[in-house]
Amino acid sequence: MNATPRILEVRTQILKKNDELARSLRDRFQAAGCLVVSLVSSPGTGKTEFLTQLMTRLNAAAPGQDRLKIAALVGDLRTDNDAKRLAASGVPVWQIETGTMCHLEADMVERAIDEAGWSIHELDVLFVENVGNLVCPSGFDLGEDLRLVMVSTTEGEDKPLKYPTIFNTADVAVITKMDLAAAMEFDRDAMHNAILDVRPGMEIVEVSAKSGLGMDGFAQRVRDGVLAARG
Amino acid sequence: MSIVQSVTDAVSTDGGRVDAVSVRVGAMSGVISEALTFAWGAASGGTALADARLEIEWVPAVVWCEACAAERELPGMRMVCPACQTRCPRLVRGRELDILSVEMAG
Repeated sequence: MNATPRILEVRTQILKKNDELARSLRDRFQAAGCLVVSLVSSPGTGKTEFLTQLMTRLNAAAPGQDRLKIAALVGDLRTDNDAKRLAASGVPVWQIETGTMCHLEADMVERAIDEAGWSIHELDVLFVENVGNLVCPSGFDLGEDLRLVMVSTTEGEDKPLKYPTIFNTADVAVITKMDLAAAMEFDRDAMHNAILDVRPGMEIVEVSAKSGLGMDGFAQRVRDGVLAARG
Repeated sequence: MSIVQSVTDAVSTDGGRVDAVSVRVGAMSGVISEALTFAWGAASGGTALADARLEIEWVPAVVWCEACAAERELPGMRMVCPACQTRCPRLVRGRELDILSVEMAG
């Protein structure tokens, strides 16, 4: 017996398993021409309402364009309330009940697509609504093309400074509930500065799912993304 | 918790007992040392890592500042050069979330 401790050099990334699966998912999505957009925010920012309104627009045939084939996965700890709300857009929705998990991981996305019986080759866009949480989702790549981090005008302009990592791993910052901006005395410059301080150069989009502000523009952006994904 | 689970998954111990696991955690990794230490005891229980020490090497965030043409360590999470106040999009270090080594019981 050797009395001295054996030290094994491991030098591996802790989240390697998730990262590798996410990369393989991303390759599969890209090969299938399916654009994958994920949404992450605190609880109550308005992910579900934004997505319902967005999918309603995308599900309607645009003049001179084919109707997009869309589906959505939604992560929720316990209830299927969000799945029901999203289904109002007329788009197939599959719920991932996460139980005690406060975020989605790549294998949950892969499994859910399978369980829902969807073929990614037949989909133009797959939306993935994460569990409401700005901390834990940040480390877990889901194989998405576009990650939206969302924050509302009612949340305080320093939110990006409190949760910088999620802003750092996202592609676009979406500010929701712009219809309440005046009533909330929302400090637009402070919010933009906070976002740009934690993620210099980040694209920022302002929307109101209720009034429709910015929603047609964002729907067009997704359509453009679909054309690009088809190659 | 998921992070700790990933560590227990990633460390293959060949059935041996583990005395310590050493990890490297970057300031921008999204993992807080205190939370990781707290979760460690709970999530390692019942695995080969139960009772193992967790050693954390903390890596501060460092950006490349174009204006200063220098690497700058960030005092907080703003990606703003502490010397000249320019926004610096290029993170040089700080995203690490690695297992460095595993110390097996003799």
